[in-house]
Amino acid sequence: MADLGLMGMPFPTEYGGAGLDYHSYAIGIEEISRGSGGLGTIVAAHTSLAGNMLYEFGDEHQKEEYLTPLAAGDDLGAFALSEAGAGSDVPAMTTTGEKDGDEYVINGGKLWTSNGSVADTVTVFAKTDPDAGNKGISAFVVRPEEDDGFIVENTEHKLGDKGCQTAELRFDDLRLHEDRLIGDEGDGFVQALKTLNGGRISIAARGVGIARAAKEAAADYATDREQFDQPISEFQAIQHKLADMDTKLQAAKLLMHKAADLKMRDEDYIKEAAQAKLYASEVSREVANEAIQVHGGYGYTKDFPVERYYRDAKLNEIYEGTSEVLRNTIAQQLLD
Amino acid sequence: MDFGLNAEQRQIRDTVAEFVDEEVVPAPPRSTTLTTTPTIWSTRWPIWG
Repeated sequence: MADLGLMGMPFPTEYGGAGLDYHSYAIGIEEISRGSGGLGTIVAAHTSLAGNMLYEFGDEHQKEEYLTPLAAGDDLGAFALSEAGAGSDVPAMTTTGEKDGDEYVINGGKLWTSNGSVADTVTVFAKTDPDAGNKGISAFVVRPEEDDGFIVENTEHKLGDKGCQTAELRFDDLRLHEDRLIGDEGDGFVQALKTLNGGRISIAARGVGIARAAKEAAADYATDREQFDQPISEFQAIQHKLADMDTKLQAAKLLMHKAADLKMRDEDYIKEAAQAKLYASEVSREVANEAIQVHGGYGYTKDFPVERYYRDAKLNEIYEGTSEVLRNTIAQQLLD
Repeated sequence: MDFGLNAEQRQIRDTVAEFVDEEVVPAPPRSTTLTTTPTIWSTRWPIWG
């Protein structure tokens, strides 16, 4: 994948990336996720979250030292934000980063960190001023192989997305030189929100890719499977299912490209990215569900891939902004 | 707004799709021409038989 430039699609070539526009990046994630939702998560978290944190907010040294090997595919990245008591409520995090001379001492832990157990570079968020609320959160570059005190506590046993390692992390007096701080102290919350906003386009692409795989599997199966002496695709009930699946899929794809288009034009795309991610996530689950229905009993077994599409699709409605949080975001944009 | 992909974007899509089909997509399911119900169905789940 590194040889094809798939690990740094949207980043400039000077930082080891492929220099692709955001439509192309979304298409790339869509195609990868068509094959594997887990691989889609790996690449999206690596690129849109870890990579983008460094590209958008890192200094030149951090871009050369940490972004370039990520974009070239030599290193793998992760983004550690969520905690046991801080999911959608990011400011509730309890991980701290206490200044000690020219170092920060990180203590605490993170949950649901995609790639967290296998990453070479992890962007970690911690409270450097616990009394300052949103403005007391800062982001750091952590290198698990170099930094003592980075501990992988566990990897999750999940319903789906099994191709991607999801880790529980602990930081035990993890000491970081101040040159690991990304941007300025206290900027972490805004950095996280902006990064997650861009990341929603890639998660929409993951949803579109999974939905495509499910629809294509359903169409193929309906053509092959015969009941009552004819392929089941001859029945209007099946035809209508396929028609609805493709119509929803095409609408999700258009929302994805609309958000990508606005991002490329440097226009505000908060609402459109949230809508693309929300709709593509729900569509991927609905289309995968219908694909199982078209397959009947076979679809409920592991002999066919549609059960995997269903399990992988469900995650889209939860991570990088739940569907409920995204509806809040869209409503706020409409009412502001 | 034009959502049609340009030549470069189509080429990127095709390259990634070829890679995914060759390297990522698992082997095909056990059968793609299911015109009969396998015997095992009637033994595992009689209600379906």
